[in-house]
Amino acid sequence: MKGKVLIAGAGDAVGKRLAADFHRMGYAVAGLLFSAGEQAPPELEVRLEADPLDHAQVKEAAAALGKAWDGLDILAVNVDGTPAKDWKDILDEPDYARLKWAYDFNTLGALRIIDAFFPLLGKGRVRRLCLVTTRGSSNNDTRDCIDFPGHISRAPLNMAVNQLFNKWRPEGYTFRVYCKDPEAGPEAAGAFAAEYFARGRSNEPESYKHSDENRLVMRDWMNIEVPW
Amino acid sequence: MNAVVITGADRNLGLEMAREFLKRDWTVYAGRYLMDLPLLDALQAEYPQRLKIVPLDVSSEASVARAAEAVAAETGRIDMLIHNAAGFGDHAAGAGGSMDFSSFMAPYNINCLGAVRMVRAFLPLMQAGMKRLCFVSSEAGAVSVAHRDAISSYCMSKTALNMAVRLMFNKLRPMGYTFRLYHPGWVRSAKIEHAGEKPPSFEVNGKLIGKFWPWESAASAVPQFIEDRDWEDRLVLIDNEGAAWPF
Repeated sequence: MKGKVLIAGAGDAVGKRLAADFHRMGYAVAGLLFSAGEQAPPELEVRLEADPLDHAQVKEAAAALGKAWDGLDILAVNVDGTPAKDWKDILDEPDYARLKWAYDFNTLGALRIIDAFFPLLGKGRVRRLCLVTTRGSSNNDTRDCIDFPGHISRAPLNMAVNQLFNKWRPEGYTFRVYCKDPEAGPEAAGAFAAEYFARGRSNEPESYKHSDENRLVMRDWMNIEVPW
Repeated sequence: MNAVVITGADRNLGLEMAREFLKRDWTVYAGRYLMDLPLLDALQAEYPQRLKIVPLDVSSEASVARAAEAVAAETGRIDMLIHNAAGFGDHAAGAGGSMDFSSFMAPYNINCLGAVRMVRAFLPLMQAGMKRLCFVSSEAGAVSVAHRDAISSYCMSKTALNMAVRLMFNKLRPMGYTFRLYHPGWVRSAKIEHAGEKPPSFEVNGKLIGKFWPWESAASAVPQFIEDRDWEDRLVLIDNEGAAWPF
């Protein structure tokens, strides 16, 4: 076995692709589903369930994984409650309840998961935190004028992960941020993610300067770096 | 005569910007959140004709709508909107099973969604004006130069604000609106404390760094907000010294 990976958000197309690819690479795979109605990927060794909005539930799931495994090598956080674009722009009346929910689920939900599973990650050999997001989280790269819930919930999560990087990279943790292809169908969703998450160090193996380890970078499904 | 709406004008940055606009003969609609703080009243005594105080809580759709109605009852033209109101929130620990997210929604609701509410409500009044939308953001929201090592609801809310402004810019710039995204520098904005609130920390990672500006320095924003640029098609975070910050 290469290592132990938890996919938080194993029930959608990206989560299922991650589970399949990590399993194929020889990892033991645990999956956190966000509702009872989600179908678990068949590769899961441990199946967990928790609502990202409920910190207590997420902590219970982490405790359950702690009973099954003594450590976690890779934590892959794939929280997306707004996969479909909201087509409203600033000239349309926003749904403020939806905007708050998106922040609570996509942003704070991801942080609740990271917070709860982080102690277990600290007991692993690799100690790698991986985030699935989209190019739409980039303040530099966003060409849209629509989808406020998606954009303004994903961008602040990038900030939080950067702050986690500042805190934990000196302690030996490593980080990966992956932009999924929002237009990909089920067969292509999550392409390259597991490979990128499992990869040893740099995008350019000979280059320390361009290493992905000591500066936090965001890469898309084509391995192209995306500006923050 | 030009007219500006300023949110969070009760004190500090907002109050000093209001004073500077009044000195420049603008009419100022000053959004007032802290109803028992007398600083705006004192300023109004100096400028009784041109300082209009408007009760305003940017975290409430109803309050923003009432403020827009009150302003519309007085004028059909607003030239500039400045979203300055801000909530600070808490810094949280850097993960490990002990984080408390209960306070994270408030700064997002004020700093980011407040900007959306204000633009939505005041756009109809801005059609006939100079169409300038100004937002007080912060380097704290710039992801690529993030240097703090504790997860901060304030930083996250400013990143969200920058994104909201990006989305608005992409839509409204082709319609003739111009934008200012402003980092005021590290201003000791808690000089005027209120109701026993805890002032924000100016420490970064436990150390006091950078140069700190007196709160009156906020007036330096006003020329940036008023003057036209020959590069209005770019959205750039500019600080009080005119330097550009990356997102």
